[in-house]
Amino acid sequence: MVDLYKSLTIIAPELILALVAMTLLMIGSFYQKKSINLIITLSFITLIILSINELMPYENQTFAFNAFFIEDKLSSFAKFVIFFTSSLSIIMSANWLRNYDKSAFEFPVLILFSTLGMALMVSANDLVSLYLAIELQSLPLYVLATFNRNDSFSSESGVKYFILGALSSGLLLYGSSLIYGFTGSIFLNEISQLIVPSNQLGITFGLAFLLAGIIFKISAVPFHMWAPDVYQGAATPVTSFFASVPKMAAMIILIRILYVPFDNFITSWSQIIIFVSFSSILLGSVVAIWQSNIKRLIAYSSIAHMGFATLALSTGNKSDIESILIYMIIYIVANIGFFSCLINIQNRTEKNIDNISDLAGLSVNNPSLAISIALYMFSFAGIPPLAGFFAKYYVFMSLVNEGLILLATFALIASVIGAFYYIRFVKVMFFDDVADAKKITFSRSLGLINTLCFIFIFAFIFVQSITPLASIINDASQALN
Amino acid sequence: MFASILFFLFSFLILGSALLVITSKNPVNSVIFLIFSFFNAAGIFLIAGAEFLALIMLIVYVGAVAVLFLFVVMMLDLNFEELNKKTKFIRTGIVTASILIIEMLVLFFYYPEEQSFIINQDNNTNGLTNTEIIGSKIYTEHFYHFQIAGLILLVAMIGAIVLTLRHRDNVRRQDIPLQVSRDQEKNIELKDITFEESE
Repeated sequence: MVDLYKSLTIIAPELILALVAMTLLMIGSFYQKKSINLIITLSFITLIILSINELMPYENQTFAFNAFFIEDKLSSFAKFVIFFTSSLSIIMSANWLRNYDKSAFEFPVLILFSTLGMALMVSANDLVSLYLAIELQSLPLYVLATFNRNDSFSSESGVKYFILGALSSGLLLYGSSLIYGFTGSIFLNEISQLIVPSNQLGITFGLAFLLAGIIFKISAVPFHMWAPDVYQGAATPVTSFFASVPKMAAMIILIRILYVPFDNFITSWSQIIIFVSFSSILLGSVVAIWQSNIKRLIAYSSIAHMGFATLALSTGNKSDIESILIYMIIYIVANIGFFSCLINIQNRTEKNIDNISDLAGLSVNNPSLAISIALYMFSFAGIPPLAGFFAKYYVFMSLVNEGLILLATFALIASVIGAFYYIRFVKVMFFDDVADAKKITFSRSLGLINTLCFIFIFAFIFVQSITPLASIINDASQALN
Repeated sequence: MFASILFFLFSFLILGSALLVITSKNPVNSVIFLIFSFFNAAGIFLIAGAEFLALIMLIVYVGAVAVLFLFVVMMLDLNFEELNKKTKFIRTGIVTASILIIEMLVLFFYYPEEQSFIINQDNNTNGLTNTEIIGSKIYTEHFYHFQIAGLILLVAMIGAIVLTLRHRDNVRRQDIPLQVSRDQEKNIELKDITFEESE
């Protein structure tokens, strides 16, 4: 009983999240349209409280439920980011949701369940709960992609995402079963001791399949095909959720899989990771040049960014986890900021804003929106005083420190190619003419989110020096040592 | 001896019905043969002592998947004769089948002497059956996984409702209180009809 009580206290945030999600589901199904505001507010408040709770100092490493669940600095940092970003996603989708359908109370509930899945995912300490958590986080995502079901693009994106997601789950399960078969253990922290020369071939095989399943979730090449279609088809608030939160969870579990069970296996997996990051950066940077749809372009840009983040994994050095975490944080903040602008524009205009050319002349009547988007684009491209530059700088530094100068040079060239299409946004907004430019005001919540992201991206060094962010990230990256 | 006779019986039935799945002209017949081959596969699991897998095979594959297939095949308005004419996958099929046959032959002739697939295997079952062991493990040691699986099912249910439930405005729904509260005075209108006018 004492053991169960201790486990329950460790898992309390997830338990609260599950209970809140189920309660809100009940409230929503009884009060229908009247409850939509209540559900949005309550889910936002719950996620904010839980995210702040994750910043409280804990013990270094605790296990719950027969060590199926692990809580360490890395997982609590990841949960802080996941809960916080999910709460922002709920707020960002609120206006769209009220316009779309007031009785669609399932939307925040599904985001809560997906967030719960991600929280369990970053805390998974065995292959079974890893698989189950990944399913719990991706099932609501399939539904969210199809949420706007009267739109044929949305239905298409949902079906594509579902089928490819099921395929990747199959690959992941196959890899897990091979690893279990050759080592006899499902626990991530036990597998590393059970690897002996006689079973290495089988484990390498299993690891390749396991990585395929996780790389699908971060949408890196060669498992990126779903991303452009899904990003384009899903409603914009859903796309902003897809582009930020699940990537963080999948990246954390990728780090954990590579550095906990397969720590002595670096020679096998570093080739896979180098290939994945190399081809993601190349494809993301080059193919995006031809895209005219904003959300497709963001999909390719996210593929390239995931390539940059995994680049720091390819060194096989645990101290480089820090640069991955910084990269992910900056990527997520810039994404949230960009989408807060885009959602605001889409909410406040009658005509569809789907292509980059629809943003033409935005700077004439809406300088604040245009400057914000330009800033995020410059940050994505990695222009020096902005946060995106530091993200890339840390990754390149860790590559250079490990002597992978060729890879760093290549990534630098690719990021210059990528800068082209980011700067095209700026060109369209500031230098193209438009027939009917109309003034768009910021809604209060989106404006606040945009301001916060703007400050973070614009004055990253300053933010880093006055907030404890750097020390938190440093603690998180030391957790696996 | 008896077990091996049963094994060959089930195996040949699986092969035969699998062949009929791809050769029969009517897709409904194909699905029925597919169900039959699932039954035989369950039989092979039983011979191997995996009674839990056999039951799951029947419940999941026959009870859910195959019935779903049957529904899909019956509901889709397909032109079967058109479908049967299409043979564009035959070359890919032959290539795949020959690769699989070569793999099987390789395994048949170069079968590794020592099987070291599972190490750390716990063979102590204390005379319990598979089902009993799985049950006792799932509800005690692995109840954390069991709970997550429950949440996944809940999400699947919400998802199915979100994606399929449509509130149509112009549909006359049954309203039971309204029906019960109907009475003679409000709903029956008596009119006197004069016969002269109908001429």
